[in-house]
Amino acid sequence: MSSAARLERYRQIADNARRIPGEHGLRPNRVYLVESEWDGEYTGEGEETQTALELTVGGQPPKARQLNDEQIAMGELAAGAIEIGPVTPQFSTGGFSAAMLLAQAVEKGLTRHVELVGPMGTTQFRVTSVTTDRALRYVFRGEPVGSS
Amino acid sequence: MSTIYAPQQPLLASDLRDGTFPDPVRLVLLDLFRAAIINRFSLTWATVVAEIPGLSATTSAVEDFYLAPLTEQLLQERKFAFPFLLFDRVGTAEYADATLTEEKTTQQWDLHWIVGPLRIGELYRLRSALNKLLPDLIKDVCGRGGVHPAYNDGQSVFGPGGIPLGSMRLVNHNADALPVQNAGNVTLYHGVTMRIETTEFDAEPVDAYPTFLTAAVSIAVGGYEGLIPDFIKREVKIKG
Repeated sequence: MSSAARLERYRQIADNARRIPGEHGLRPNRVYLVESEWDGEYTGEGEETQTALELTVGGQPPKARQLNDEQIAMGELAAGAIEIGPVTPQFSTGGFSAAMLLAQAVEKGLTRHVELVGPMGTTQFRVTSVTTDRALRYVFRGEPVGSS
Repeated sequence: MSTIYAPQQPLLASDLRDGTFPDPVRLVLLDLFRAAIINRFSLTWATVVAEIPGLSATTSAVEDFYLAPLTEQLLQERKFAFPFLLFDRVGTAEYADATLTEEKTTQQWDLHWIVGPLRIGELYRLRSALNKLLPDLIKDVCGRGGVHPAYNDGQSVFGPGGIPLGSMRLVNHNADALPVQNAGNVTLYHGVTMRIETTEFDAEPVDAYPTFLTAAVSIAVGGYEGLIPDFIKREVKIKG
């Protein structure tokens, strides 16, 4: 088996394992990547149109956890910061590409946030970092910018 | 809108959605500086960026622009393209008497032209542009009363029919790389930040008064080089 085929297999296994908590109802937050576009000349001008893409692992919501005080301090993040993931990198039947998570194809002028919908309502976070240097896991970190 | 450069009362919801109407000075100045920078590089931009990854596909010296202070939050939330021009009011505005009947506001602005992360060789090529060419250009545009041939047919943005500015000058510039936190690391964005200072005269809310009760006469002094901004003042004002 080639190394590429092995990587494909490992990612399938990881994605299958990551869906188990969701299947048991232990992932109360659904996570979306939300892009916003305005019909005015400048970002924020005119009417806003949002496009949301749900982030899943094996068809279930990914882990979303609040960072503790030490993690916030060491990461220089604000209170209320969250970490989302692991999300499985793209493989033949699932996962997400780094380019998608890094919003590389998003047009200039659009904004991108991560949105959590769960027991605390709907909260949007700005993405402070996306870790894509692992073969089997991508992780987001974000800070809150708004809720409803 | 019946009046463009004076505040209309009450503020309409559509004004806020527009975002620029309550403060048109920033929009006019951004357009002026953007036109000047694009014009300055118009013949050379393709050569400048030919070998710079990430910039080689750009067709303009200002590929993206926005009205906001430069913050890490902005770079994290809004997708931008290089070269990125940013302009907005910064710091503390100061108010003082200009004439017996008129006040002036002294305001500082930041104009950022961000080229992006550059390798050292590319930075060498652009270093003189960042440290000398662009500051000289903006200093010249400010010193000539907001005049540039590429904007508004070379007409000054000051004075009668223009925005209520009394003077504009380049205070300083800084071409040091801007460190921005990115995925746990620090990315150095190269560019130049130019600090500009303006004086604005209070815009009379003419829509708040019947037209026939308000009159303003503007006197401009200038010569071959154009208007001298410091001498543009409303000297006579009759208000009912």
